[in-house]
Amino acid sequence: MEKIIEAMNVSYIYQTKYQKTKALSEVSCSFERGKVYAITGKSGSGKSTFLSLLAGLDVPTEGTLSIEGQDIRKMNRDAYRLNRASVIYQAFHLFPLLTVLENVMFPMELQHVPKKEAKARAQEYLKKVDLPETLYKKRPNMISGGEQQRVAIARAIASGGEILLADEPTGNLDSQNEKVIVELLCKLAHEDNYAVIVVTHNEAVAAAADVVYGMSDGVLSVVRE
Amino acid sequence: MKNYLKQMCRTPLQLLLMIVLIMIVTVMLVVGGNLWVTSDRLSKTYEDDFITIGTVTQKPDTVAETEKWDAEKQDFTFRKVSRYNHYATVEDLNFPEVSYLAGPEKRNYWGSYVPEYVREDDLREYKDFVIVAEFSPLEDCMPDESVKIKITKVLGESKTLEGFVGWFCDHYNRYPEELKADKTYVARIQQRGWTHGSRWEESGKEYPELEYYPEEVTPTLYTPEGERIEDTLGMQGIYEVTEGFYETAAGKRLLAVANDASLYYDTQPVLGTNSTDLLMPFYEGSAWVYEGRYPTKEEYAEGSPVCLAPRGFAENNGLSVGDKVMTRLYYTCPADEAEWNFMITGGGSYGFSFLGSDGEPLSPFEEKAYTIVGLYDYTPAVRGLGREELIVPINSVEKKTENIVQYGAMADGSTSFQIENGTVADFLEISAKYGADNLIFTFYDRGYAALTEGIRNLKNMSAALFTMGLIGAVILTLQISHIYITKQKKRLSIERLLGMSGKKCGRICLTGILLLLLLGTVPGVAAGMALSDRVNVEDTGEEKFNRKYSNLGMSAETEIDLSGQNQNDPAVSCMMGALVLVLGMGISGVRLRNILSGEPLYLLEEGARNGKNH
Repeated sequence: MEKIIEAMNVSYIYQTKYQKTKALSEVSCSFERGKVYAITGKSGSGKSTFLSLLAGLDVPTEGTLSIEGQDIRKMNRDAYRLNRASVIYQAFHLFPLLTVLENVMFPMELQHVPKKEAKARAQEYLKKVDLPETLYKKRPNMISGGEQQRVAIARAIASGGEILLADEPTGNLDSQNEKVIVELLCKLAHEDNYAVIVVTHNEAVAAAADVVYGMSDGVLSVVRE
Repeated sequence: MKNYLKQMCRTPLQLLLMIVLIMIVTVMLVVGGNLWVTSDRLSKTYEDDFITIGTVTQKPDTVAETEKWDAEKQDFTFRKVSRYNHYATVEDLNFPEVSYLAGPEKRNYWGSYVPEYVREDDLREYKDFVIVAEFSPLEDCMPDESVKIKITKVLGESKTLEGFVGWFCDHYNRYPEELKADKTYVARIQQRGWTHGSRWEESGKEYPELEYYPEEVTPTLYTPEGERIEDTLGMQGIYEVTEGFYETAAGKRLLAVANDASLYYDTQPVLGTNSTDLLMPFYEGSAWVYEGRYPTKEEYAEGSPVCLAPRGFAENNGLSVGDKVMTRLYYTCPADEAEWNFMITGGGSYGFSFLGSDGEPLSPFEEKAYTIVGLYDYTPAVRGLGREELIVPINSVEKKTENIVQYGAMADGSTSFQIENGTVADFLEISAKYGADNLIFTFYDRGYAALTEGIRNLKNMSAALFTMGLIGAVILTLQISHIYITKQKKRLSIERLLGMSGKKCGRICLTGILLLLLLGTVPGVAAGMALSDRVNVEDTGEEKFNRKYSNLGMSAETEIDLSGQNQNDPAVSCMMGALVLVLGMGISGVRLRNILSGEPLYLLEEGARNGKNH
């Protein structure tokens, strides 16, 4: 399998006026297309910080994080998030004033995809996440949590990127919806060749992953490969 | 952008409220700014139009009572007379901290003997009111009441009254001497009072007639310090004409006096000043130059031989601007204004003699030709000007204190100065500090104090409005940036996580806020301009500022037209609108920078912890 992300001795230090905190310590790992990765660990272990670096929201203090061989420091990270990596959140973070369809069209608007084409593609992505067509014109607060997370996943893949980053994607869902979302993420990895990286506490989610990393005090270790 | 605008419109009432509030603070700023500019403009425009002058009156040190016998009442009449231990001089007004714009000056008027000019009012018509004449009573009598006399000889120019039989009384003499019908007497007599006494009653006449009184013939000269020069001759009122009488000192004095009245007939008053603004008739506008110009400051300072001539005098003598007019000054009068001796309405009287200390008629001490630079006219009811009075720079007269025929203390009509507008209170404080308690100052400002009070109110109001508007604008823009930026940080974080650049996020936010601000400021500026017009006019009370509240009350031009000053300044209004925009955009920009510099995931987590919606 082709490595899409590679971390080499990545460290990250939060620096405030009064103190420095090492959130990540010499993390080295790689992520490939077509696989689901789970990063588990306690709160404050550094997993969300690592996800933030993977999303290009920040850069490592030390070490190298490369995307297909290119150092993320040298990349336009806004363009990276827009075109290659998308993030899914526990709280869904959909735009409440936009309809389900408009939420999915939003990344394509940023990419200047013509509206008609964006609409067609958005409908296609919503079908992919098995959202009934009757919900397309509804506002997010009118549909269930599981449905909202499916819309969030559809929005994530709408940008056309190959990296899906998920921060506790099932944290707000019941077990039935949790199962649906996990299956959906696995399907996207295995059938559509996405590299899916999930940060989770949830053992069931971790169990569904192809590779499981554990994070403790900023140190990453392989739990299951 | 669409997303952001939708977000803004999500709470339409809140949005509308914000727009209305922006409009209100903009109106306050525009009105405040315009009022400030208008009041400032008013101050500057009319500063020069106002002149503040002060007049000075010296308080008497004591008031004495003088007695004078009245033959009609057969009793003394009493009159209160002001007494001064020391006459204040202009040097007493030279307070170091006060910078006078003109003066101070204690004006003299001089008598100029100019028989060559045609006079508007020929005083010779009154020549028989005062004469030196020989007379005899028709019968032996005591002149303590009206008695009949026959004028046998007039010693002056006019002989009209020779042979005249009229009434006579040694009116003011407590102990008159008996007059004998077979004797001839000589006296300076003046037609002054009304007949009285038994002889008059016996005459059966229905109405009183004028009678002659004898008058003293003594010089009335003063030193420059105000000391009366004693007359060593000791003249009496009535003399018996005896052989060789006219060879005596008293006889010679009477012969001299017989012709001195002709001096008066040909006298023109000449007033010296440092500025016509210090002369009340010119200050208040009841006198004005209608042709030519006023003397310049330099001409006043240098004492140039230039003058302002009155219309009647110029017309009667064919004089116009540029012509020269001759003066021969022969007496100085620092006491009364010329208007008492040369009344505008005609006639006049004088309480002094035209005799020198040698008992001879006064003779000119300074002769000069003045160039007429302006011709002036005056209203019929003018006060403070003598008839046909020439006005010259005070410094043009070299011998300012020669032949002082009458002396007086500083008075409103003769002593004045000009100070800067708005400094009256300072002046009074300073004058009190220097102990000028014996002087009474009266100020005239043409309504400057009233207008500046109005302008000050306008400025205070504008400052209050501007301050409230500014504080309101700051609070409001802080609130707007809180609602539309701080409370949107989750949405902004999601957009950034979805790949929207921070710059683009910021641009969209600021564009939205700019639109919101424009929706409030544009109508706010328009409404503010409309309101400013109304407030300007209403605050000053009327479009024309009336000077009737000045100390003066009378003026040729009592109103100042303010209507032209009520115009709003569009630039100021636009600046106030721009101020709201800049403030709003500045505060929003700072808030936005803080939000965008935060880590999006952290902001999302923070939002989730706070349970806030995006």
